Amino acid sequence: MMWAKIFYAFLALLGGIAYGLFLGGVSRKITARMQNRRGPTIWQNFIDLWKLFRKKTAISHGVMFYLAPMFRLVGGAGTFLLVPIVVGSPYLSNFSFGGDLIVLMYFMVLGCLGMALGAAESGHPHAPIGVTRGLSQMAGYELPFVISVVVLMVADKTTSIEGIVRAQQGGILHWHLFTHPFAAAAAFISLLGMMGSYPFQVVLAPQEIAIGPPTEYSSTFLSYMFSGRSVFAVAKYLLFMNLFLGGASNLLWAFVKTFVIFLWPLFITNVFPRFRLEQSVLFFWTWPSLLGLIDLVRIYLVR
Amino acid sequence: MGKDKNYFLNEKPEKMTYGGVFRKINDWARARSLWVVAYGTGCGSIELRPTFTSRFDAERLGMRMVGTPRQADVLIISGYLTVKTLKRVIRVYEQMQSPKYVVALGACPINGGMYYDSYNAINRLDLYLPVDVWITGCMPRPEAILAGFKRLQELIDSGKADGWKKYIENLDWYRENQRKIIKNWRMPNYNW
Amino acid sequence: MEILDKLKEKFEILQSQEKREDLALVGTTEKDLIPLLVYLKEYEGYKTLVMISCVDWIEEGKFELVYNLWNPSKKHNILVKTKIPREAPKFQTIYKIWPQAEAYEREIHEMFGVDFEGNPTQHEELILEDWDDIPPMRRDFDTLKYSMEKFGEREPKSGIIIRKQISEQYDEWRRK
Repeated sequence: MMWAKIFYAFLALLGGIAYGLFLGGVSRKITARMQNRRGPTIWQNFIDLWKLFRKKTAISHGVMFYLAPMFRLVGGAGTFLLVPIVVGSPYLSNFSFGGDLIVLMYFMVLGCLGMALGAAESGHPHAPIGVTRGLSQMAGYELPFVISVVVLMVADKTTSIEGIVRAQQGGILHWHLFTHPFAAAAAFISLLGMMGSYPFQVVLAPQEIAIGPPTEYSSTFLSYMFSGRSVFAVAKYLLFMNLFLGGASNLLWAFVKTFVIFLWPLFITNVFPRFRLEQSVLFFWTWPSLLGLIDLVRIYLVR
Repeated sequence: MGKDKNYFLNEKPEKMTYGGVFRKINDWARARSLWVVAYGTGCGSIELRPTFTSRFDAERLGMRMVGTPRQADVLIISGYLTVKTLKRVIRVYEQMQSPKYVVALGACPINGGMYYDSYNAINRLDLYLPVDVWITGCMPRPEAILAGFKRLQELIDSGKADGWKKYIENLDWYRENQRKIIKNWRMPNYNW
Repeated sequence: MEILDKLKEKFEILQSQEKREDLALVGTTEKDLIPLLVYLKEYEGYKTLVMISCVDWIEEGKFELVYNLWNPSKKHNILVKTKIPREAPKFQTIYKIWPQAEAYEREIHEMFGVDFEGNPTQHEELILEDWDDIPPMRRDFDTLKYSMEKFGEREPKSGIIIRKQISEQYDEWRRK
C-alpha cells in the first residue's frame, strides 16, 4: 500500500511539473496577446527546459552552489507532495496528514533558503542583493497569509488541509472564499507576493539587478530551478484551491480551479508596474494584514 | 588570481564532443529556444529593441533577452567593435556556456565598414571570435535581423553552427590574434 | 560690444571678434589666459565652463586651447583662446576654478598629449586603454596606416569568402 502511494505521488509530481510548465507557456502566450503580438508557442517552456537540461556547464563555485538548485527542486516538489490534489481519493491525495498545514508553511520557505545559500556562494554581487530582497519580501507576504490560514484553522478547528476541505463541502456558498471573504482577500493578495510577479517583482527585478539570485546559474542547474519553480507554483495553486475554493472532487475540477487561480496573478502582473522593496513590504503589512485581522476578530466575536 | 580562483578555471577546457543519442532533439530544441545576452556593443543595439518588443516580436521564434551571459546562447555583436569593447566581449563570450553562437550585425564586424580607418575600431571580427551568422547592412533593419536568426536556426537544426567547437579547437590561434591588439591582458587565460 | 572693450582695457588681447549676438571670441596670450578666465568668472558672470577643446595648428607648430564659457543671466557665450607651443606642450590646469575641467583636460591629454600641470588624474586612461602610439588626434598621426598595421587589411586580398580564408589560416598556423 505504501509503495503504491509513493508510486502515485511520483506520477502526480511529474504531472505537476508538466502542468506548471504548461501554465508558464499559457502565461507567456496571454501576456503576448495582451501586448498585441503573437508570442511563443504554448509548449515553449518545455523546449526551454530541454535545451537548458542538455546544455553543457563548466562553472564551479563550491558545494552549496551545486546543492541550491536541488534545494529549490526539493522545496517545490515537497510542497507539492504535501498538498492533496483530490481529497479522499486513494491515488491523488499525495502525502497529506493531520497537521500538514503547519508543516507546509515551513516547507514553503525551504526552497528560498537553499537558494539564499547557493546564491551567496556564487559570488556575483547581484545574487546576495536579490536574496536579501527576496527574504524581506517573504517577511512581508507571510504575515497576511499566516493570518488568513489561522482564521481558517480556528474556524474549522483543524490543522489539516483535508479537514479544511471537508468543512467546505455542501455547495458553493460553503467555500471559504464566501464564508470568510476578508481572509480570502488577504490570502489572495499575498499570493501575488508569493508568485513574485509584477507588482511585487523585487527579487528578479530585471530593471535593477538584471536577473538577481540565479545570475551565475546556467544549464542543468537552471533547468532544475526552472522545474522546481513550476511545480512550486502548481503546489501553491492547489493549496489555495483546497483552502478557499472547496477542493476538487475529481481531476477535471482540479484543473479548472487551479487554472482560475492561475489567471488572477497573471492579469494583475500584466497591467501593473513594479513596487520598490520597501513599498511592497509596507503594502503587505498594512492592507492585506488588516483585511485578515477583520476576519480574525469576527470569528472570535461570533464565537 | 588567489582569492578569485573559485570564479575562474585556469586550465584549458577539454574539447567538447558533440553528439549522443538525443542529438536530433537537442538541435531541434536549441534552435527554438535562443536566449540572447542583453549586451550591445555599438549603434546596432538600437535595432534590437524593436526586434524584441511588440513591433517585430522575436519571442515568437522562441527568443528572449537574458541579463547574464551564463544563461545565454547567442551573443550579438551589434555594430562597430572597439578594442576596449572587444576585451569585454571576449570575457562575455567565454563566460557563456556551450553550445553558444555569435551573430555579427552590420558592416563593421565584417570589414570595418565606415570605421575601416579608425584607430580603435577593429576591422575583422572573425580573427578574434568565431562568427556563425553575418547580417549585412548599416544598420540592418529588424526584418533583416529576424531573417538572420531564421538562418541561424536552420544552421543549428542541421548541426552546422559549430563556431563554439572551432573556438575551443583553435583557441591558441584566437588567443594569439587577441593578444596582438589587446596589449595589457588583465584577464585570466581560461575563464570558462 | 562692451565686454570685449572691457577685456581690451585690462588684458593683452591678440584677437577679438563678435561672431553672433550670443557668441564672442577672444584670443589672448598664454600668460594672461588664467587671469582672464578668473576675471570673467568672478566679475562678469560667466559662471559655467561649457567645455575645453584643442586645435592642432601643425603648420605654425602650435596647439590652440579653446575655453568655452557661458553666462546664464545674459545668455551669452564667450570663447577664450590661446596658443601653446607644439613641442612638449604644457599648460596650467584650471580644475581648481572649475572642477569639471578635470575630465576635459584628461581627454585632451589623452588625445593630444598636452600636459596640464597640477591635474591629478590626467595620466589615467579615459577612453583609450593601453595606447601604444602618439596621441591619435594629432594631425601627424596616420590613422589609416595604424589601422592597417594593427587590425589588418580591410578586404581579404584574394577576394575569397572570409570564412574560408579563416579555416585556411587555422591550417597554416597548425603547420607552423
